[in-house]
Amino acid sequence: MSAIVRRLGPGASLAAAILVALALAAAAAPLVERALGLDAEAVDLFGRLAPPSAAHPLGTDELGRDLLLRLLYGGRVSLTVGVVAAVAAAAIGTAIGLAAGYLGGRTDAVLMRFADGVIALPLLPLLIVLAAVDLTKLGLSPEAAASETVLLGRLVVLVALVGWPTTARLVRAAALSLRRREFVEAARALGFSPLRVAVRHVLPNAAAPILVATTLAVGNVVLFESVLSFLGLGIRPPTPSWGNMLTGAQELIWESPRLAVWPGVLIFATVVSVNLLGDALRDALDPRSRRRAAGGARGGE
Amino acid sequence: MIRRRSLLAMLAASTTVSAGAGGLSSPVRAAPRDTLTIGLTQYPGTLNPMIDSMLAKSYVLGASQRQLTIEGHDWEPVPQLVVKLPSLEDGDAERFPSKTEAGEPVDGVRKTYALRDDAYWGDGTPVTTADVLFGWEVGRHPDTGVANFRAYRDVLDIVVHDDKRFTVVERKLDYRYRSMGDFQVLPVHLERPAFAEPREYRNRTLYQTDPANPGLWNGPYRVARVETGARIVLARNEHWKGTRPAFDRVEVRAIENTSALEANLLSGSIDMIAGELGLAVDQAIAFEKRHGDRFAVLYQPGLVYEHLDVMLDNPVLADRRVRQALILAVDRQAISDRLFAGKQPVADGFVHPLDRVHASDSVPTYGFDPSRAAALLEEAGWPPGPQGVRMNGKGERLSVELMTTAGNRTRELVEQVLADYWKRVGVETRIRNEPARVFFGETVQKRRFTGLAMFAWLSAPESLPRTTLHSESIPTEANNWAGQNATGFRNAEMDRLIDAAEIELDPDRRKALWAEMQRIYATELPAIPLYFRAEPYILPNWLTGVRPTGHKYTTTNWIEDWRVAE
Amino acid sequence: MLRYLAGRIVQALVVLLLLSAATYVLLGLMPGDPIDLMVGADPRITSQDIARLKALQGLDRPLWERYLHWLGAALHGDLGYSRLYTQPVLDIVADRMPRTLVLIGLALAVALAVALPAATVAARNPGGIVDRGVNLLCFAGISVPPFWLALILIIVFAVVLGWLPAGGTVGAEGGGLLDRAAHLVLPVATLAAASVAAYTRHLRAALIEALGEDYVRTARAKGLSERVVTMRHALRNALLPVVTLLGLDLGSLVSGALVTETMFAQPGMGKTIYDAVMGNDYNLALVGLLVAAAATLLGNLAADLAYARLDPRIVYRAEPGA
Repeated sequence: MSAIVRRLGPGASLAAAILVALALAAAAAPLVERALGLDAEAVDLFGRLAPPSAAHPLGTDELGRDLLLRLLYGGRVSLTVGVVAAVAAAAIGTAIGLAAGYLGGRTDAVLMRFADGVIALPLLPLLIVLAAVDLTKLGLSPEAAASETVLLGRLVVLVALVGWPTTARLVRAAALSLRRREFVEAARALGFSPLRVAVRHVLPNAAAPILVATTLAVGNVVLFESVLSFLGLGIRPPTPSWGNMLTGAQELIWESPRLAVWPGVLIFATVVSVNLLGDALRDALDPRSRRRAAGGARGGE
Repeated sequence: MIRRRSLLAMLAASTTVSAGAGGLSSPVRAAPRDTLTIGLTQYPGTLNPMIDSMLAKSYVLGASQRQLTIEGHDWEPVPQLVVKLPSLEDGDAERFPSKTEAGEPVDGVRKTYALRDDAYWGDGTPVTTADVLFGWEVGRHPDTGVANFRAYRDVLDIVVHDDKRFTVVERKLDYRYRSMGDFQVLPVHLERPAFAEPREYRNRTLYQTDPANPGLWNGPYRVARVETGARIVLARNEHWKGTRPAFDRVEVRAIENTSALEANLLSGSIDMIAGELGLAVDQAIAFEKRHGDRFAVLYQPGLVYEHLDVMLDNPVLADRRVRQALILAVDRQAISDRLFAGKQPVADGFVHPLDRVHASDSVPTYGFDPSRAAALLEEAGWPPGPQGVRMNGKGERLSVELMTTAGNRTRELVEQVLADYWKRVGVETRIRNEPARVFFGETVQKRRFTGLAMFAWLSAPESLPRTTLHSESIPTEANNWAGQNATGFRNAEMDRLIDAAEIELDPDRRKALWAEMQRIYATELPAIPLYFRAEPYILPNWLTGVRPTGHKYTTTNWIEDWRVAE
Repeated sequence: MLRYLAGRIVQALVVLLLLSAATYVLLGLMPGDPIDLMVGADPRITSQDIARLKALQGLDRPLWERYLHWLGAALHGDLGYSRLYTQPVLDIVADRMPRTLVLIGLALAVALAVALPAATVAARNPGGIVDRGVNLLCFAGISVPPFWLALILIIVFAVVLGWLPAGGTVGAEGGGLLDRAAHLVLPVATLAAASVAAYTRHLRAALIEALGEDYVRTARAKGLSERVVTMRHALRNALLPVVTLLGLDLGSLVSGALVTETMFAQPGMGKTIYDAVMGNDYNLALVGLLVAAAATLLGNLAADLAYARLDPRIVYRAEPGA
């Protein structure tokens, strides 16, 4: 444990702790629900917008539902979507970017024009179509088609589909400039297969931009989800997410700012933590940056 | 160091700009209020009165383009461009034998109107029968693609007597015969060339290509400036002979986001928020609590009927007991009181309590009675099952799909309240919302919803439910999905009552027919009534004379009566 | 270089052509067509009316035929009329595009103007107080959804302080340049906030990396001052990822300024495209989306060219890999 703290530094360790705590709390939502003796979806029209109390530690929302429970369940959704979608997009992007940058030539040209096309792809109609696709026609039962997993799945697929080119371009850029560096040329001269050279030599050196992009992407997806909610295309009620809770709180900003503050703070904490962690991971993974960080510290004295 | 200084310089520069701007947009105005700025949540796509019906357009046209007749504040037809409404009793309307489009014999009507002598277009040209004829010509042409063009096609002929007097020959004498409905008058002296090719009219009309042309407008105001998507500036029409309006200019601004709309009002960028297209009622209630001292909030109960259309083809919902149980399980009074501060009354049927044909005797009502709901479900073969969800003998769960327009916050809130109430009696609700265009264009119109669909009907007073309840109005593939009876409601007695009420001219006998319709509706429950919406008008304390109607004819139809209080 | 450029432009045109087909199909696949919506709005419409209206607008023909028809007309310069606004599509785009470009241009300029110094200062002493402060501000920038930032800016600067207008493009009295500028401050700030954070972070990461490179150490060893080293050598390389981001932003902002435009009631491309898609205005939606796509492709091309100038290791040839 202490070894991890030493490697990551105190800030990033705290960030990791916050993320773990948020994830655990979100995962434990049903337990908390039972412990409090409440039902997360139970509406109480006579207890709307109630201030914090013993029964409702953070008070209630505009339908008298327990805010704490909504936040925890919302966390499950927001965190899951954020991480899964960002990782999926980064994985696709890395593979394609690496192939394009390292192999170069026609492969590069074709893949990058493909990426350009995807980036330029109209997101909005795609969203509406995706929101309207009738999954029961694809053989899903009505219950399954309306289930939470499938609803979230649509969002993840969408983000992954349109999100990968950003990573791909960054990775390709790194790979392009690495391709002509001595150590890569040397590895190639030694007769290693292109795949091996790409994965063993180019990829680790391109890790920094990938990590930065992915960490930022987690935050971006959480935000993207909230913007989709704003447009009425996001995660639909009754499933809570931090994004749609924040959107709903918009009209109540004067009446009950509390409703906006909590999801806002959680989004903020998540994005900040993920980013701090990403920075620290990069420093820890990349030998050159560790050396440099030390050098930087000395320079500051 | 240099970098930092330039950054500071930039910051300083931006503050100067903002300080300068502060002076310009300061909420404190000079003493005479010569401009009124109104905020709306929608921007009208086109300003041509005939093309596409849209509430924002009606709002602007109310101030600038008058119609022959409209509905007034007491929900009865009133003349606008004409002098009086004709009637059979007065002799300026008479029956004649006519035929329906299908060829069945029916009573037709000839009715004579006279245009007001003081009706002028904004360029000084008088409004004449030629303009009426031209409106008819454009409206009934099949290639123009106007909204409501059947209203023009039901006019068989227009006989012109002189510049002001004309007789309209209408196919069918119905209870609304005194009014001209949505018939629009167009300035033939300007619009004729644009109509040379009817198919292209919608694109070539001067209302679109030259909206600031004063001759297009005959109301107290004329359109002076159009900034598409942002605002429309109206200026006083100098050729308006009626009451002189109080403001030199009226500016209508479109701000879609209601939170931003509210902020614009508070910052003084706009003076008022129109109730027709403004805040949601709960937002207005919260607003009133904080700013009731600076603004007056009027809640006008409106002919906007929020309900759940029930898919009657679904075997589970085809059982009337299940529909009754669904309505009994919900405390609709609590929804109205708690969510809308009692401003949006519970609906017992599709007719508003303020409508003259509303009936309450012998019409069943449904209070909040979860135990009776449970008993009804039991009776319908849905005993309680595991996990709190009822199950029938075949092991199917009692699960209903509930849909509405995604992004409509009020509806989404109500939806969740309903789901919670139903959960308590063992009914599972699957919420599935779609963007409005998908929901209305596809799901409701083509009857693709499987359970319940939440939306609203906006209507005129005493508006016959022919398109929503008559069995001929069920949209099908074969009829190109025409009609609005999305529930698939078939009731021979209802069909008969609708047909009879349409041609019944005696108000009392008509009222009896309407009462019977409402009884059938409340008994059969083709839809689950929720509540009637109210429109919150947020007006500055200094503005008087704004009188909401609650129906589709907007307050701007009386804009010349708006005054600045001393 | 010129041959390379020509090649890329040809490629971009091919991508655009493919996109136009893909977009047309996507729009066509969306549930509900213009007439379906009209049917919902007009209670008395009959089956024959609907059939006639569909034929009138060509909606009864297969999708590919409609696309070819559209393409043919478009290639002759006829982009058709917008259904929603009953105006030539070209007029609408010509009205909205400049507004959007001004908004985006200002936002990107502000973002760069803030990010460059912030990242440079932060990278000089990683882990220092300044660095941490910059980092924190960046986090704040990324972790606030734009609609919230907009709402808070409106409340603070328009409602509470009354310094700036809450929305719209001009004040009630018509207003001059200063008035129009005042109406741009909050939207530009909202748009710039997210970009500032992204640029600063990428720039900072790249700068720190570059400052540890051999050539920078060589430069230091030659006795060049830290400022010269940072400016001349490190920054040049560190700009690479930011150039990529800028290129990407240009296009995505054309359609992505939607939230900002909605909150501040600015009629721009994003709002126009959104309304067109939602309102079944095929012609306008298609052209708007293609314009946004073209902007993205241009941005990418510009980014790649800038790469070549900034990174001596990359050489573009007309026939890559040959």
